[in-house]
Amino acid sequence: MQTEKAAIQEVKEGNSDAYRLIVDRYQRGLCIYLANMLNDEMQAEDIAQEAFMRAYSKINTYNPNYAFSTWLYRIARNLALRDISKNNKNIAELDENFETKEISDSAHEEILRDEQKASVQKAISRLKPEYREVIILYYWNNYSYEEISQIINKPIGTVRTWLFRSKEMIGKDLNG
Amino acid sequence: MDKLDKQIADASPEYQPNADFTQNTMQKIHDSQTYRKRTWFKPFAFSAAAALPLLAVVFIFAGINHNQTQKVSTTAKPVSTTSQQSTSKNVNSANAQTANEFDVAISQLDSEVSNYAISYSETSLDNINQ
Repeated sequence: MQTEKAAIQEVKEGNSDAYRLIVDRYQRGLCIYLANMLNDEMQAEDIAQEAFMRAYSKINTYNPNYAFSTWLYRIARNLALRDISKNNKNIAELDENFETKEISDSAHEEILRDEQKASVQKAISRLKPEYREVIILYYWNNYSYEEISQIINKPIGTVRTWLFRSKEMIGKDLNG
Repeated sequence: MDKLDKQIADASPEYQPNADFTQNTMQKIHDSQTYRKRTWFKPFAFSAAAALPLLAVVFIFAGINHNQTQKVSTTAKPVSTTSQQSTSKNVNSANAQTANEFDVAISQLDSEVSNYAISYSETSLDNINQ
């Protein structure tokens, strides 16, 4: 199986088809991340696609000393922020109803689990945008503090603080 | 990882991007590559198109200058200073020679005229009447 590094090297050498592995690997996580920022799944997919294209066209500027994913997420984040400012959306006033539609009523246990899931999602959506962002990157995209600090361009200490505070807020929201 | 951590991690949405997402993205990348190749060629095509009229003007001017040079060479050839001096000397001597010949011709003409005057006087009405 082709590794990410080998695929990137092949793309740099002109084999564009090798980029398919990169797109397959990151599309879901990136779309979830962007959908939370933009509160619009269709728009999130468009921005994700643009981010993949930008990363592809600038692949020769990518520094292999850093993770490709953090570089890609940073490109996507900048595109999303540009889109938000272009459309005059206030990131703090985004709708709180992102992604709560997957509740199944086939079994009681499943309903309870889905309700709990929806509650957590609602609690996350009520967070300040920067807190929400670190939660999504840490819990839903499995990035480390260091990787998150590279993506959002903040010190690791700030990332740790924001994660701690946001978790506290989610806990209060669920118990309140 | 405590209970809340697990709850947050499990709350990840069951979201899947469009099934054609990868295919569409790869297609766009291929399209953008084709477009870039074309745009890479455009400046060269444009400069070639811009150069053609410029070359035409240059050739026209070159042709005019060539004709003018040829015309000048038939009327006046460049000569050295010494040859110019010798030419002027030749011209001066030729002029002097011409002047002498002219003087001779004039004096000859004078004598002929005087002869004619005599003959005229001889053939005047007075003489005829006489």
